Amino acid sequence: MGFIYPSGRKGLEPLDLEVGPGEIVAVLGPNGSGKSTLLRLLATDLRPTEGALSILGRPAVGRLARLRQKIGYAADIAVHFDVLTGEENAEAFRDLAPLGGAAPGSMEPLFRAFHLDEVSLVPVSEYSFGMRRKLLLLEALSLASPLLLLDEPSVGLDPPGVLALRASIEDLQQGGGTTIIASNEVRAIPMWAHRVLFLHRGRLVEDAALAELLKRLEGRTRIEIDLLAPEGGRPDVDLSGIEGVVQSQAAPTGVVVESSQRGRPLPSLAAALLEGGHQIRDVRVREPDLGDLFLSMTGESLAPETFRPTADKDADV
Amino acid sequence: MRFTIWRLEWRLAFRQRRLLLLNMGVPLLLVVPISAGGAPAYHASAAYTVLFVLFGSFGSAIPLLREGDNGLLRRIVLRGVHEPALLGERVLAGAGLDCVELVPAIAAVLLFGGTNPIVLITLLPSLVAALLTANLLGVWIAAGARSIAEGALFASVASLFLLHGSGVFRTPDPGGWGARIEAVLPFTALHESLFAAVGGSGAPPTSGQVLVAILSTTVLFLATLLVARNLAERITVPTG
Repeated sequence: MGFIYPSGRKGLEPLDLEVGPGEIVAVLGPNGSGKSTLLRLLATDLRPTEGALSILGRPAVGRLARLRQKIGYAADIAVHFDVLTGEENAEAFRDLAPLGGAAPGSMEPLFRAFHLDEVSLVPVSEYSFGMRRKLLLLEALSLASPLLLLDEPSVGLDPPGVLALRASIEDLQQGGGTTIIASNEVRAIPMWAHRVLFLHRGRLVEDAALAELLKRLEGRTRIEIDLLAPEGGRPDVDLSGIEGVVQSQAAPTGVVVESSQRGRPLPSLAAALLEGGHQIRDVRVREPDLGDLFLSMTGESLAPETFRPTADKDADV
Repeated sequence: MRFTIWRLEWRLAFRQRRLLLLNMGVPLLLVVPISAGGAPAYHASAAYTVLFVLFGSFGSAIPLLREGDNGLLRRIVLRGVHEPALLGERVLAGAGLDCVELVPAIAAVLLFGGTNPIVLITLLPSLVAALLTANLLGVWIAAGARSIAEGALFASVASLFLLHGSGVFRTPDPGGWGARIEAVLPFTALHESLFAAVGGSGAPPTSGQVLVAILSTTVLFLATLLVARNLAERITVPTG
């Protein structure tokens, strides 16, 4: 299926995708890559403009209410009945659809797990952004739906919330439930997945098992060098010829180098940059993650940094 | 039938006590000066009919547009609520709440008008039918409007147009097309009941006229349910 927005903008290039019961799938991509569009299509919020979509064994066309009752969907915007309490909201959204899987009164453990138990009787109008996000996730999880769709679940979520989310998803998966998570966070959430999809500018560029992707990262080291850029613009220095350098790319704050010899190319890299007239502000050497793999495949960062260091004498190296 | 939307609407309304009091107090404040000021029956009944109909159509259209815009209605639809249930129960709950909120204003009309209680036999069903129609009108307006401002404009124009058709602002035109339209519009019975309630000359509407109002409201209600999926799609899907 594919999707084009009414304005003519491509939301999602046609893709062929099959997700089975019990799978946990992470959809990674930067903002505007089509993650939310894909999830909205799967939630039947949008209808494909090309191709066809089948959910839980039935085509997603015609009257969709019964199908929607089987989908737990936490969208990227947490909207609630603000005058009702958190508990009342969770109950209201559970009770709206008769086929909800959760039994009445089963919300309390989830409120405890997400550390919302102390505010469960407080009107949602008094909730913080993070609390609203947690409540939204809790509401989707409480349905025990065979298909759970989570859009950017890590936004506004604190570490206990992330743990609660993981536990709930794993519980669901053990019962045969399928979870699809859209995120541009790479360190925690995709690591729970069996399978990872990379979306770039509305196109599916990778669909592979997590284990396979992690294998591709073995033996690679990422060297991030932040440069001072007094005149703005990206550094135009070619570092790819240096021994041990597999790939070199300009980044918003400097250069990012992938090395096959851990930190060994560092002196040569520093020398080349200084000879090129650059000033080094900071250097970080770390193991690569899925974000690096995405960068190497697409040339675009999953979560581009907007901060750009300015000239600062104290930070000179 | 679980009536989850109906129950939710009543719960939300009673949770917003300030809004509930305002919705009871404002119509009362508008009605009392007209009733106590000895306005002629024709003008007074027209003013009340306009007030009650606008109360229903605005009260239905504006929240629908607001909740459509902020994504709440879309969330409810994606939760698997059938669109006819969503719109139908909202209209029923909205009209019911309007009736409750208009109790003080209606009481003032009857009290100052020195009304014969027999008028209530036609006034109450006429009021319910008119408020249901006004709430249904609000749904159609919300489906056609792209913003709250547009919704307010459409609600005013559509309500006033139908009120005009119901003979609220003009001398009845016996025999013509105007009279035929007037006979089937649900606001006619309310206007005539209010006219009788405030001491206007002539008999209150007959049971046949009230039945016509109920019938035309029922037809509009069923038509709304029939196309509820399209209406809900237009109300709940943000543009773009």
